[in-house]
Amino acid sequence: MNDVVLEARGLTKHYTSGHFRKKRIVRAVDGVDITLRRGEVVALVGESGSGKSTIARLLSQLIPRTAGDILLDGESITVGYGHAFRAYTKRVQMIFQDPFASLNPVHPVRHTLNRSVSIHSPKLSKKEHDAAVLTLLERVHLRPTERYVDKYPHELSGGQRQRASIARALGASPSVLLADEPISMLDVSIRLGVLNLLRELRDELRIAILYITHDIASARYFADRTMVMYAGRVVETGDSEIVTQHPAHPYTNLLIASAPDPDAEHPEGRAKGEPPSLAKTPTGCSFNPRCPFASELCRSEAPPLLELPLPVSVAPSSSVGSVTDAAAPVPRQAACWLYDTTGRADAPSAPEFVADALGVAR
Amino acid sequence: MTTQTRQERAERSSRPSRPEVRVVPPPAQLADDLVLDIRELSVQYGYGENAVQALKGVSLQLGRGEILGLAGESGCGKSTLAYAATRLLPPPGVITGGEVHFRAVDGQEHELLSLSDNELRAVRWSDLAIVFQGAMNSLNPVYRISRQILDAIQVHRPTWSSKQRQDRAKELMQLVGIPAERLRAFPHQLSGGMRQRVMIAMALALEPQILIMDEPTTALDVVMQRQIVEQIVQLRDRMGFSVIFITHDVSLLIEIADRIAIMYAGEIIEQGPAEELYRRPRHPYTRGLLKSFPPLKGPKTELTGIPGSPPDLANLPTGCKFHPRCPFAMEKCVTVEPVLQISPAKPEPGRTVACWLHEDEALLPQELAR
Repeated sequence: MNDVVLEARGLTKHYTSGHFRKKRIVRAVDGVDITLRRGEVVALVGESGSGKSTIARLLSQLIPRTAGDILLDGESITVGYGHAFRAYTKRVQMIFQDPFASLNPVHPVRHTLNRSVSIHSPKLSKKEHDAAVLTLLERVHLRPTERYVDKYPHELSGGQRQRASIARALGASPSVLLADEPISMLDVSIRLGVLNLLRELRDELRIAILYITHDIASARYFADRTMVMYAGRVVETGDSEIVTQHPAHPYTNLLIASAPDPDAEHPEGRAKGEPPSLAKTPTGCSFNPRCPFASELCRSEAPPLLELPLPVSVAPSSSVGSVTDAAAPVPRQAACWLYDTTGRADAPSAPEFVADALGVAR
Repeated sequence: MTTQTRQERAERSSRPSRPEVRVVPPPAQLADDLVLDIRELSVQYGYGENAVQALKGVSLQLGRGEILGLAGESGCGKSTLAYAATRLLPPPGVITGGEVHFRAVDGQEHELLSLSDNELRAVRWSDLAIVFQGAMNSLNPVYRISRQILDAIQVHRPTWSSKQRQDRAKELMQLVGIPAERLRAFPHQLSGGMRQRVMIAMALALEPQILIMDEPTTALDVVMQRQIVEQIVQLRDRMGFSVIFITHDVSLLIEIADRIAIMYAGEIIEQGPAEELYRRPRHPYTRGLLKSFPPLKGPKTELTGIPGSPPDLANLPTGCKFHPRCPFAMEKCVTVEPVLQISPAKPEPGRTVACWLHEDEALLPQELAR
């Protein structure tokens, strides 16, 4: 598909910690592949410390990668600083988690947006420039725009501030938005407003959005595709509806079983264990110490991302109002030996949910 | 310490200026099955003209062994309520009126707001313990866990021998599912979830009657949150204490709480049994709040959240505080403030709601009358 804007292959970030005698490598992100397409929202779900924010920073080139490749419009790109970085940020913009910290408190909204417009479109006349600033506010529904343009960040509520920072990102007219937990600091009642706004941008401006979150329910609501991360690796990916309704990986299962849901029955004592230290990941599959189905194979060898057939019971559904062509079904993958088809003798025996995930009665 | 005494002095001096009582005066005696009865509690932040009314005559009862959920958005006064009721409100917060009745283990009744400092100190922690917001960071990083737990026990149980205290500390760690040898650990050697459990263990050290938990799981991820919440319910079943659980996550509350009170702009606007409140919300705000959580199961629908922004306490709307965001607002809502009462249109035991729509069955929209 030539709709692909930003792509990462084998993206890896290792940090070193400790002294030279006791040097340890922290594997924050380990060989992650991501594809962002025009007019599509991809959700990256995982617990704190699973490396999801590191991916956003790597993709925005705020930090250099250890290994792997980032491709913008199909071309490999590495930018450090200066002009190359500016040119890159014009295409790839980021929205940060905390709207209280990411807007400069000493400047009104007008200044913040002025900077964004004048940096990314320097040749506008004064009149066009002012019009552009107001259009940005209009875009993010901060109406009447004249009232909001001269406000300082402290005069705005959390949701309005996050809208202002989205407007700042749009000032560059980017092709890709990296949203790092954009709603987790906002009040519950206004979160959906911000998500609906981002969805509108996806549909009207055909922006590719990477939505990073720890809330899998909001990923189901907002994203077309969902990737679940655990300890720096992607463990499951596929159409959001399929991943949340028919989870394949034991970790995704745990995540969904743990999410607060008043209608669901929660078998007690399911949630066990803690995420591993990234400096000392267990051998084999990093989820194996917490996995109730782990076998000898899981403890010795890390599973690759295995291709899964789409469950026949559900048709792949794009989210409400999506403009992506549903022609090509979203590939579905899970990094778990449960889905190994080569028939290895030491593979774990399949629990019930595997049949549901595969959509076939065994 | 000086700030606290100064604040307590300020509280005492300001107490006489009590606002007029709006509801029928409650019985002076504490009902048998109640452990905590908050009556008409009012709190202001700041003094004089710039004062902001953070709590407006809030009344709330906590039954024995009950888990009471307190939900609302940031700034609605849910934490303020917990801190004011325990007299831990930091300045510039001032309690301007109300009473907090509390029954201690020995059956004696206390009015927390009029206790002397020494009496209060004896009651706090041993009868009424708090797990603070961001509790994971309230452990002292330079001391081992053991020292911090033993300290608390030593202050309140000075007659215990060192051996007794040690045993109690080990027992507590096992209670929350941490191996006793981790007592030797420093806080940074424990994960976020474990630190939170240590905080719960410390709060339970003296077998309190009431445990107040202020957003105990917000900093944790969902899997750890589920573990902690399950643990709290188990401990409650075993030890029989009452819990006030404060959070903004209503969907979590519905699962664990027996009763839920929803707060908005410093007032309780709806209160009732958790399951009932979830199935049949009576206040438009409650309904909006429940509709702000996208479902993980069932049909996928377009959701809108609640339009507008949470209110600014310094600049509150007239009448019902929710009317600018309410889809059903009427003329009366703009001018007259509703009272928290049993709905006249849909009377149900144990449920109260503050909304004019409930004055008349004809006014009540379909969504709120189910």
